[in-house]
Amino acid sequence: MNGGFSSARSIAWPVFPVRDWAQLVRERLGAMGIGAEREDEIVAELGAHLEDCVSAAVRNGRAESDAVDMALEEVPDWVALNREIAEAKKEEPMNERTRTLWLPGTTMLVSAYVLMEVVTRLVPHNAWIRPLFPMFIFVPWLLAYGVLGAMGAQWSRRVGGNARTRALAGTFPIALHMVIFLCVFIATSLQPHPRTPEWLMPSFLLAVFFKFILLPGIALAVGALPFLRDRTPASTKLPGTANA
Amino acid sequence: MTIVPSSMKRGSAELAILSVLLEEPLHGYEISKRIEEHTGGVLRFNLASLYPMLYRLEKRGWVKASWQTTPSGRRRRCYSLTAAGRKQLPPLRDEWRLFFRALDRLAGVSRA
Repeated sequence: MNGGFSSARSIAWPVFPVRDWAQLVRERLGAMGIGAEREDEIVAELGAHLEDCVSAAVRNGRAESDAVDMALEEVPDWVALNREIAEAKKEEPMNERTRTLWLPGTTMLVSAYVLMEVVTRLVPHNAWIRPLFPMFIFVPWLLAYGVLGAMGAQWSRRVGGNARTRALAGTFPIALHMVIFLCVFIATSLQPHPRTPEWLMPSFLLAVFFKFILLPGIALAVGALPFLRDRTPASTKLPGTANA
Repeated sequence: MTIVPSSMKRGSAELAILSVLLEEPLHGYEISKRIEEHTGGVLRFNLASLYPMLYRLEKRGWVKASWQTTPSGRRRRCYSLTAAGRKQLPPLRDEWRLFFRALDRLAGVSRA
């Protein structure tokens, strides 16, 4: 992977004038193991930087050979630079939306699904749509949703999500409820019935919507609410060192 | 001229880069020059210290880069601040302000 180092370091000091800075960077930097296309970009970018250094020094009255020497002093250790760039570039940059919304949101959605599975095993299937849904299950379930909402919003805030993204990450599990509700409704309504089934009665649908979508949605939103505001900094650690 | 130690420079690099990019999109060389000018030469990033930091900021989604052609016909990779990067600036500034206040209370830096 880094086999280019020894040859890169053994290259003689460039004879003035250096015309192809990118080629010089490529030879000195060696392979970084991050893919040819990205390496080409880096080589071109660093070459352009050195070229700008030389141009600026010449404009400021330096002899061109001095300017080249100055430019090359920009990189005291090419091996260390190779390592640092490879470390910085190796991992795929995670999209901001993925980091602040999809990741916390999907994790909370999966958690909600697991929770629902547990509750489903405790409660008979048809009890979900009965008017007397067991309160001893329903209330703790809603409270657990409040916790999920808080966790999703807090996660999003920690990784830099804005208020809207935090709210969405916190209330994301409600998407699961909507999908289940719609799927069951469509599947039931497509079945041939001799008379209007219970599922299609407006009052019944309203009750299910209230218990299965509205209340869990409110629980999630209430849980997320305290995390929609930005934190005030209280740390006195050396700033900027935590993420460096 | 007193030179700030390298550990402090590393810690302040994010704030410095994000601050100059707040003004306008710049390519790497311009970023280093702008920081040097604005700090009277106290903070200076050479190629080896600047680009790994820029790539880290890019990975975090705080800056984004795109190739552009300058009026002189040269292709340069220009960096601009993203919404996420813009949002990082106030808390970073607050952290540094808090840090310097604490240091001042401890060592009377501003009276030195």
